[in-house]
Amino acid sequence: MAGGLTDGLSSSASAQFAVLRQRYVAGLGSRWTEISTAGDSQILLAALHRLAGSAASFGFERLGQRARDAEARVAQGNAAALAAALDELQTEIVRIV
Amino acid sequence: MRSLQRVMCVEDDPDIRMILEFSLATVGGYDVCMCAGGQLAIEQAAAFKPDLVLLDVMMPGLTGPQTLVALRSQPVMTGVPVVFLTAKAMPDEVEELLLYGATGVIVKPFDPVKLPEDIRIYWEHGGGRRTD
Repeated sequence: MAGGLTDGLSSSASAQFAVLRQRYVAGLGSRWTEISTAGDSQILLAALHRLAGSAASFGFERLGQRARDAEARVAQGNAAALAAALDELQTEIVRIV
Repeated sequence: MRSLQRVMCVEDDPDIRMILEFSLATVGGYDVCMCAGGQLAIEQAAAFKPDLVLLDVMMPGLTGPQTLVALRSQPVMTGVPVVFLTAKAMPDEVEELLLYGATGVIVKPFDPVKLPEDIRIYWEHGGGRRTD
């Protein structure tokens, strides 16, 4: 379920990790709000950067990749490409939540 | 040589603190002192006496490198390895971070199951010099 991340853990550690994943998922809605309402590119970059740096640690590799893609698009300054990347990110968040 | 036991973590993102706590305390079995910012780490280092410090780079307030400089001025930090935690992984950025006197750099997102062993290796190579 977590991409094999927790293979080999004790059952109590696995159960604890599952709870952490649920908490992370519960926070994704507000993270998306932060991203979708970001007033400037610095705020947007920071929010994407945090998502990119944490998602895979909770077993959400594709989410992390989508956030990294969007982060790269902000740096490139191409509005259409950024919008497309944010769409894909939103789709992945909706899929998880 | 004593074993790695006390790990101080300095990280502003609550989600990362949550997974660090799980990784280092639950999986790794270390005693963890979790700090939400550099100032807290500077205040708590003398009492906690860390064997190793895991330090986020980009934080509001004191940055990771600024925190490292302040920590290094404390006697309790003599010989204690500091490992940066960063989502930036370009080779020149890693080089720059090591110039601050860090023992190593761990790239986010990290694997919470492997992290305890990764920092133990850094501790063996870059630290473990404390004799107290």
